[in-house]
Amino acid sequence: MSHDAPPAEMPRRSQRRDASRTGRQDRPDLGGDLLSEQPERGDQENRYKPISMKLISRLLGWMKPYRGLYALGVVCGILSVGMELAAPRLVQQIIDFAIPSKDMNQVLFWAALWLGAVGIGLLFDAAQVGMTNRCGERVVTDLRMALFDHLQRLTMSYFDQTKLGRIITRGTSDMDALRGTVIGGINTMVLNVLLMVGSGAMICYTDWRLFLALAWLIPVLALCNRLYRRRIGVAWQVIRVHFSRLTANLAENITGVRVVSAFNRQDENLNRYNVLQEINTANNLKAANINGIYQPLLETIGFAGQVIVLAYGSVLVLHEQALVRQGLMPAATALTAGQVIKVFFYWAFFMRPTITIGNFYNTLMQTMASAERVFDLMDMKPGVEDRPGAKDMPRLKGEIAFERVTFGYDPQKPVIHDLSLTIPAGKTFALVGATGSGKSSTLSLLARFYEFQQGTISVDGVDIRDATMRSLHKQMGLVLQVNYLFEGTILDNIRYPKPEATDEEVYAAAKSLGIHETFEALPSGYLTQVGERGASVSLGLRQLVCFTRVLVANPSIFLLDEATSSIDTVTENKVQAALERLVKGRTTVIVAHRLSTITKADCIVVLEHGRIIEQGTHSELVAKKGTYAQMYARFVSHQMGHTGPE
Amino acid sequence: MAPVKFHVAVNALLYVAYSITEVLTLYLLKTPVNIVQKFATGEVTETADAGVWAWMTTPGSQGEALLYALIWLGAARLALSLFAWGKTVSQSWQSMSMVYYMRAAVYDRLQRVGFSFHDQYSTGEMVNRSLSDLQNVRLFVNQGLFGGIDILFTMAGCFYLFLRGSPSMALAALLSLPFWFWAIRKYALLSQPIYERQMDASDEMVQVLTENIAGVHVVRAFATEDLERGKFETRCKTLLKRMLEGVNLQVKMTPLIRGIAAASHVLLFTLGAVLVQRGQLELGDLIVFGSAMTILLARVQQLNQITDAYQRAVVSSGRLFEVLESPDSTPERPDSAPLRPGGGGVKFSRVTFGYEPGRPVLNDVSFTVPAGSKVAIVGPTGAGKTTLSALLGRFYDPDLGSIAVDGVDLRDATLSSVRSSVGYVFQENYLFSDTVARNIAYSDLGAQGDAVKEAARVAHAHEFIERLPNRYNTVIGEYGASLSGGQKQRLAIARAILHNPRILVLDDALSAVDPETEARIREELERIMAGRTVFLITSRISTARQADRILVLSQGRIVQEGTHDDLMAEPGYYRDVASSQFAASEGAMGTLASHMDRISRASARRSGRLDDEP
Repeated sequence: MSHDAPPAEMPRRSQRRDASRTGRQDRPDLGGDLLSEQPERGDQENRYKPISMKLISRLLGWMKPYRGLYALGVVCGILSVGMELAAPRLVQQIIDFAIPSKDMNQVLFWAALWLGAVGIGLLFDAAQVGMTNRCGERVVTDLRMALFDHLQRLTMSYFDQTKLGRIITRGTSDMDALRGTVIGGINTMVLNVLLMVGSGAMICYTDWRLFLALAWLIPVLALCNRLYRRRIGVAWQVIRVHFSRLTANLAENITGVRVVSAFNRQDENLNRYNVLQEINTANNLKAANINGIYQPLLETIGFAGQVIVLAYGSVLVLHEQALVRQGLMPAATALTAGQVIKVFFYWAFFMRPTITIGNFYNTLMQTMASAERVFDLMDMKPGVEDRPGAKDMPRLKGEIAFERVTFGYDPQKPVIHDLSLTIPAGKTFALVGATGSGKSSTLSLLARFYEFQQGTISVDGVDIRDATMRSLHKQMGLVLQVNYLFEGTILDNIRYPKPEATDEEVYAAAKSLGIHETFEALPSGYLTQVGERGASVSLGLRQLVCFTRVLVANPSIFLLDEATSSIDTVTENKVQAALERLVKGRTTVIVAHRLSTITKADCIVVLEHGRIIEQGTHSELVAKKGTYAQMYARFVSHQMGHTGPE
Repeated sequence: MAPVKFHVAVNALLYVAYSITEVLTLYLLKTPVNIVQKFATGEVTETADAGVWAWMTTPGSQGEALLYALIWLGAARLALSLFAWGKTVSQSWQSMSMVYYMRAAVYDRLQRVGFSFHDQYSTGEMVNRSLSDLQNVRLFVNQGLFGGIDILFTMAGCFYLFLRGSPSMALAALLSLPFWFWAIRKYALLSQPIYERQMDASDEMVQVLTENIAGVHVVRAFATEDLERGKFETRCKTLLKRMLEGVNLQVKMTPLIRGIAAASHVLLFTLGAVLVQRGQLELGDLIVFGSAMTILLARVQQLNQITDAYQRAVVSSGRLFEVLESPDSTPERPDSAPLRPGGGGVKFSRVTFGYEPGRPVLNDVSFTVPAGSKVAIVGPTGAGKTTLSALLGRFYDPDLGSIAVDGVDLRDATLSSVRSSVGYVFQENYLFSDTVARNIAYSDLGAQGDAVKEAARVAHAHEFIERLPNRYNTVIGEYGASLSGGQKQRLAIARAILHNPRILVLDDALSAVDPETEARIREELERIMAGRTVFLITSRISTARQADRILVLSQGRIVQEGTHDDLMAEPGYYRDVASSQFAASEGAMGTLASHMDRISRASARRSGRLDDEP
């Protein structure tokens, strides 16, 4: 069958553009020099990797726990190959002795032996398959769980920078690619090599002249194999790269279908898609051509061997049988027809692995790319880790102190400069400032999502880096702008931080925030499904669920990155009321966008470019007539509708 | 590309030729084997002592027979290789040309079918249909049609060989086939549910992984890593169990299936050997039969793959045709003409519309907007504001009532003219992974660089574009530069401006832009859109009050209508919202988005310290 689509993977895009083919066609001719540069593409994932022993041995390292079982599997495989190799010998026996003996029992006897050998061989083979697959599946499971475990410890920067789809691919299609090698890896090589060596040896043992007559085909075979592998490898690489472009184009067109329709781009887009399709067709034809030449070539080599065996064999038989008849040679050492036919079969065995090994090599090359990606991810430093000797924090009072903290996602570009701030236990602080002023980063640092470069942050006088992250996080409730909910019911989501919480505890939490009725009023009440990422419930409701979830966790410190999106007034009132109840008795830090939140805070901290420029209560700051007062005045006037060109 | 039919015909012919030649080469193997056998039994006592060549050219000798047999075999083999190459390449041709048309058809259908269809299916599902489902159909056509030809001719050829050699051998060969077929079928039936369970288990595993990563902040914040690990481990173990079920079945069934094949092979050979013993069969026939049996069994296995592919193709083609045959949700009438030129006057007459039957989102909405005016539509979330704007571009047709632009019912106009007349900017705007310039020039590929720049200037995007690494040639999207919400909105505005519509719909389109820039963009828009119609969809009173006319939408109905002053004078939703938004005091609600943020941004910009983006 032909190979239009490479094994399904997440749509990807590759940077290597085949400029000679596509560069001109898939770009609109917009005219003007500003549109003429070649656009750059990022990321290139679909490369074939050379076989790297380092990666292979690392992969094999994961098989260690199961090596006993695997070794037993390989032994079973070797025995099954042995049984297979016995068959032609028995056929020879039938041809040379049983048939000429004119005794039917002789034929039946040897045939029964043959059948027995085949049967035992099959059982051994099944055992081999069972054992090696068992190991392979376990190894893949181990790898997958290790990967997941590692992801739980990786720094947040990784998740900020990496697309969701790409991470998922590591755990899915990359793992599937590894599976092939892990399961079939060693035994495919061992057994196929054994079959080749074994059948070669049997040919040599049967008649060295026939062996020599065939031997010269082996380097020819090796050369063909090598040429083929290289060519088909390149062809496949090209197919994948272009096919992923086709997929990406399709996915983008579907995602942006509203824009496509609104701007009447259907015809143009179809043309571009078809250009990609034509390239894809041409690439596939190239691969088909390579396969179409190579497979018959391989068969022809096999066939040449057959002809040599039959022609040269019959000449030899003819010659030696004549010698026997003349009494010049003992009958026992002369070549027989049965032996020639035996060699004929062994030659078939010898040829069989050439295709298997070629395919396996192809798989291996793909695996290398996957293995590299998986291990690169596993080697990534977690970034933020518990220090050795970090202690669990006792129940916190919630006093927070930033001392001269400097931090940048890129250490060269700090977003927080020399920030010092003390928040007494139980108080509510509002952080305000422009985008990029460092409000959200301040929250993230407190939650220890990132490692800061200078200064200290302490809670109840303990440096947060000396505390275990687990104990810290258990006592901090964090609600982000994007209210992430897990697929499941509202009840499940509220209970998320404390799975053992009873329904009553959940209801009590909702009641104390004054939103029990809101949940109850939903079509299925607390059992309403929130859908993927909470998409089936409204934004406002998602926020209410998040607040209740925090209350169930009952943290000493509450961190909120207030949502900027607009929700309707009724829900907004509920959110604000719930928030007021939630902050009571907890140290609260809010990245605030809503005026009511800001004015109710015990202290407003105004940030600009990662520095605190003003600090105080609303009335203090307004009285001070500084930046905040200015902002507030403009805000009020904007609300009154007086912003405009005047 | 040549027509698909041509490729199919050529490919089928090559398959037939290949199958026949394959059987022929088998048959030609017989003579050399027989000759070897004759020497072995002493039946022939020729010698090659005069030299092999001399022996082989002696007329009437076995040597000559051997030579001719080998030449024939070589010729057949050569032909076989050529046919093999031909059928591989030709199959690729035919299947690629077939898939080309199917893919193009699905692609085109998906971009024209209308939004009702897209509302029903997720992106992933649609991508799947256009890729894997199509692949399944193609595989069946290849395996079913050409594999069928192959099997038919090879099997017929093999049986012909058997019958010629020995009818009893043919019968024996036939006998084993039902067992073999039964075993393979059984395996397929047993493995089907296991595969399905494996896929389900795999889906569940992926779901936990996806949720864990998408919700990584929540996981970290609540320190529930262990809980997540536990969840994932359970899923992984379940998947492992399912995979091992498959392995177990394989271990159980493979020896059975291969055992049947091997046994029938051995038995056939034994029967043949006995016949040879009795002189009823030549050794050459025996070897040929043995090889023929191997080929035959391989074909039976293929037959099973075909039924498997068939089942998959039936499901897939159903799903494909669901796409291909889905009717346009907004069909174009055969006599439709382009919209008449005009300034964008809009008339909604008693429009009722719902995404699902029985649940109208818009209820009996009527209003008239003269060309060149500015209309604001306000109302709470879910009131139907965005739906109303989607109807304006004829992305959906109203269930009842009609919508006319410049006096022409939208259903009487060509779709492309309607779409060219309406420009949209949304709160969230989809940009393509392409350069900035080509995103702006999305609707007009012939646009000159100056026009692109001009549109960017109007949208106040030119400055930040100039600061991008490759300016207008910077690639944006997943693998390119990432843009902030405000920058995306400005690009979308530029795109809509270049589209040059007579009606511009701004659906909360300036929500992520700071107020000063917003004011400047509005000013520019006013200049450019003079004499054309602008719809402002907003929940912000400060935006709405700038409109000539305000429509208040609530639960799909227009509840209030008038200028800002009119509406402030009467009690109702508008005045309530306005007063709550204006009351910049304790308890003020709904102070939209991050005003604080924007104000300080604007002030920072004035002082020239803040980069446009963090």
